[in-house]
Amino acid sequence: MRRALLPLLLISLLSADSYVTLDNGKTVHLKDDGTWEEVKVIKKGEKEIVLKNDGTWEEINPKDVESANIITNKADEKFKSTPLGKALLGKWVSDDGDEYLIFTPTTATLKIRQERGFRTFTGKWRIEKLDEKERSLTVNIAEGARLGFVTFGGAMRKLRFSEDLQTLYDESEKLSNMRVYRLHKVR
Amino acid sequence: MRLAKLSLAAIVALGVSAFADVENVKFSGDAKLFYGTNDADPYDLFDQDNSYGQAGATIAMSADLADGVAGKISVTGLSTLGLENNLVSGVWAGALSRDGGVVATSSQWWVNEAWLAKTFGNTTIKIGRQELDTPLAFTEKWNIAANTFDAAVILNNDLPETTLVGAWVGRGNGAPGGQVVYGINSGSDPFDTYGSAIDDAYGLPGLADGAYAVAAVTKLIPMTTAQVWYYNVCNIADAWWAQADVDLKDVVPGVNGGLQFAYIEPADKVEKAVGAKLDESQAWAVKLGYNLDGLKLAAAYSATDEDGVVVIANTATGAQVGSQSKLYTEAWWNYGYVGLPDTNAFMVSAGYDLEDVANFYAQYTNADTGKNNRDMSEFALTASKSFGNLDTTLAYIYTDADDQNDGSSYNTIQLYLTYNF
Repeated sequence: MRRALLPLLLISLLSADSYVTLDNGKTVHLKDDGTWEEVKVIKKGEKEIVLKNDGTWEEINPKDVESANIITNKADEKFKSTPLGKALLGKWVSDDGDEYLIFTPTTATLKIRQERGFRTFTGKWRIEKLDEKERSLTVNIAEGARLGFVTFGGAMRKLRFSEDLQTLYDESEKLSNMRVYRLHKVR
Repeated sequence: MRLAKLSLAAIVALGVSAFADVENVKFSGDAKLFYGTNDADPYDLFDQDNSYGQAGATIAMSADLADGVAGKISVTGLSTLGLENNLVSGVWAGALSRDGGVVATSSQWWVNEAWLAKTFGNTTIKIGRQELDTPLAFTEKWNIAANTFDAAVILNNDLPETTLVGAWVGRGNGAPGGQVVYGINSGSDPFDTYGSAIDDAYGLPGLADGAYAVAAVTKLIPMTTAQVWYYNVCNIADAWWAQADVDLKDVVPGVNGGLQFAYIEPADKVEKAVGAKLDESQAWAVKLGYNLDGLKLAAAYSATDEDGVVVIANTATGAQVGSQSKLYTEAWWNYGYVGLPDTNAFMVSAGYDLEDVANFYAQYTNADTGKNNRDMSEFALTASKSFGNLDTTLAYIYTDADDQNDGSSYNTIQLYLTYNF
């Protein structure tokens, strides 16, 4: 019995934190030799089983798979600390007054003029994607819940900074009605 | 059976994870409750007989798929929630089905958007059921439900500061008379061949056969966005729209202006159907505006040709009184009057965003409709405020129109509640 328990314990210790679900839904196995491979994780009853590319499988503890949520949070923190992320903080208003974006370190408000009043989203925010070279960001405002890279509620805005970071272009409606909002920061 | 035990979220995750490069998947939507009442004779404000109300909800999913493909699917539902039992006797949208049946109190839902878009270099193709925003064929968003189109749109940005547009519109669910969308009767399809709303509005014998549009939108002229559109609403009309909007923010901060010209020529088949030669409709409009620090002022004037027949308004909802017009002078509530033939109209408006209090807006519109004897004056005053994700607008409208309430003026009060989730 002891002989059987020891290898299981070792396997369990070695596999701790070695599986990570990425924000695109893929799960990867981080191997001890410094390489990695994509694996599939399936559920069998209460158990989670990893299907490896070499044809073998392994039962794992669900806690050993770091969730996409944690990864995304880390990415969000990293994005927010970049010059683009920091430049977002403050109140932005479009030239025609049709859109307001207000970012504080923890909350954000999006207010867009509609035919009848405004459409408003307010709540927590995060940066989903950031491209320093293009000066573009995808920002999620006031989401209600999240499952990996699927988000529920709130608004997703695709933003791009001017070279001097003084002007913000909201290109979220470029595809739907060819409209790009040009926003400037107000104090 | 085991599958049935999976949560919706898990099913979504399983489905989506099959596409490795899917990102920005977003489920969102809104829930609306709109109410309106007026004191047109012989009723008083808040009487059930002269009040209208409806609830609506839209749930949408959008995603950026692999290889630069984006997509969206959205479902809209309408219900009176039983308001007709005590409070109202009319609805905002979808009162009639395509076959003329009254479906106002039916709970109804339909897919109002389902499209895929792919970008190749500077060219984007968008195909499927979608909203459109063009001067003479567009989605009206003021009502509790919005009309959409089965269409294919190509956008190209190869030329500097210029977007070239090509569009084919096969079908739409736009309805005339201010209802914006057709309702659904026992699962009937509210979408029909594009142009059928014009057939219905003008009593034409089923001439609709889709539409094509091409356009160029350019910012090559400094401080100016200029656009020219050509439409062929098959068998019904050819139309042109030209517009130049100037924003003088770099010269005189806050000042902007614009010029518009519209032309609609009925097709030979329409003339044959009505048995008469029909003159083309023309309109021009000019606007001056001022925006600064939350203050928004505008004044506009428009004039239409006296011999025209078609109203210069949204062809998607029939191009009649009740259809919204993109002319600068368009009223806040009484749509289409400014686009009537032989009409001179002016509009003045002021909006102010009183931070942390509310957003206030006032507009006065006057349309002198000449030989049509449908003169209309309207004053609208609104206050909008958001409580978290709940948007509210309270509106007061004074209407004095020759063809409403036996020519006597009347008052309207409306409440718009929208919760965004």
